[in-house]
Amino acid sequence: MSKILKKLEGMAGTDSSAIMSNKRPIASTFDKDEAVILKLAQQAFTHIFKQADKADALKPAGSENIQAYDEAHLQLGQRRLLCFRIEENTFYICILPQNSDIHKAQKIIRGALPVLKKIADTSSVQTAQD
Amino acid sequence: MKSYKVLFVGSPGSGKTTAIRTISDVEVVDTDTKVSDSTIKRKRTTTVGMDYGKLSLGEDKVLHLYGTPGQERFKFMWDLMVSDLANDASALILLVDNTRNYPFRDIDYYLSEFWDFIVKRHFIIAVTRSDLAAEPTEADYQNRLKEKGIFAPIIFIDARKSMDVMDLVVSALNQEDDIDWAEISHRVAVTELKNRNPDPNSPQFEWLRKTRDVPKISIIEAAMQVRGISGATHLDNNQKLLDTSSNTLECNELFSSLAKLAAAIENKAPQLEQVRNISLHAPQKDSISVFLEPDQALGLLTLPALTHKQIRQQAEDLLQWSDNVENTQEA
Repeated sequence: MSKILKKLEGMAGTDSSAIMSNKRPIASTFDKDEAVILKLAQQAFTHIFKQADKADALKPAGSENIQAYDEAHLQLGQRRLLCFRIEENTFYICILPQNSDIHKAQKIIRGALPVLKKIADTSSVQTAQD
Repeated sequence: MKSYKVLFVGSPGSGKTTAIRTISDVEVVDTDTKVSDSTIKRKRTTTVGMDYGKLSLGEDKVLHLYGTPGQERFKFMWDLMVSDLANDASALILLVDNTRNYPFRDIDYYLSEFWDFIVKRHFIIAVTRSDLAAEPTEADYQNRLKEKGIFAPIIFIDARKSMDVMDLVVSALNQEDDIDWAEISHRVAVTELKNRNPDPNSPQFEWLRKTRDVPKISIIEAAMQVRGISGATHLDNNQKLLDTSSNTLECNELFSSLAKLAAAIENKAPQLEQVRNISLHAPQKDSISVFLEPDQALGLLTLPALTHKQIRQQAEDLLQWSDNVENTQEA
């Protein structure tokens, strides 16, 4: 699975990436030194989406598009953490280095979301069987 | 005929067009157009292409004055000018607006953008609007450059005064010893005197009309005039609401909670770099972004068609021009 993540990183211009499900990585290219960033990112993005969903829920019915936010960014200094919500508690998280093309990364990762979802689904089936 | 060239760069409203216009012998070729972005906070018109002026340095010498547009969205013009039109320029003059909240950040930014150009040429920093904001001082700028290992003249100027702009030009061409600077300065000063009472039908009069004082507006009012921004909220350093365009509680609460999250991350993981921005996106849905500074934050609700780069540039200029924070030397 890491090979697929690496390939996606090459195409999107991102550095380390991971698929996190229920707070645990099911596939990751983050090294040990970056584990703290991944953990913090997972917690932060969970909070960000929770707050966004809460704000959406408060809006009067039919007032705006009911689609939920599925992408969040956290910029730390010149680096950017990108997160795509694959399912309720499943995220794809990656690091975008300084001076990268954000638009290109967004487009490529968004295009790869069905594949990432498949990886997440396969992994959860395997976990259930184990 | 021997030609010299000087390139003026700097943030929007830092005085590039004014400086060129102040000393040019010819009517400046400008590409000014009505402001359609956050620059509305500072002026009515802005350069969208380039400025060009000319100063005769004697019978057989001429100085070409080029000015870049300030907004990053016209970066293609910066590239064009450094690689072609002004590629053989003798000097780059960086104009820094002292009233911006984080002027050192402008220096860092332009140094990074024009570094390859600067290393081969004279580099001068011209600080403008110090009559409106006394700090940072010259010593502050010198210390900052020293920390970065850069040695460059720092000259405080009023871009509307010809003798101040002449100081920059003399410094830029200081290696040329066969130019009669006294004669040129005298000529420029006489022209300036003549221009003080321009003919109402002259281009100079039109220029003065366009650059008359801009009514003071808040950063929220300025943000709401930017195409693509549908909501804006200004928060203080405690994530408390200062001003907003939106009366919808849920949106303001979301901006505030994202700013609080940034503060929490910095407390929890001080080893990490500062959180500069948090944003939320979805196809076909307005994006939500919060831009954070140590002393303030700006939340923006933007149309999905607006790119990150466009949003960031508008937010950074708005935060640089907000009125409620003290002029700070934070980078």
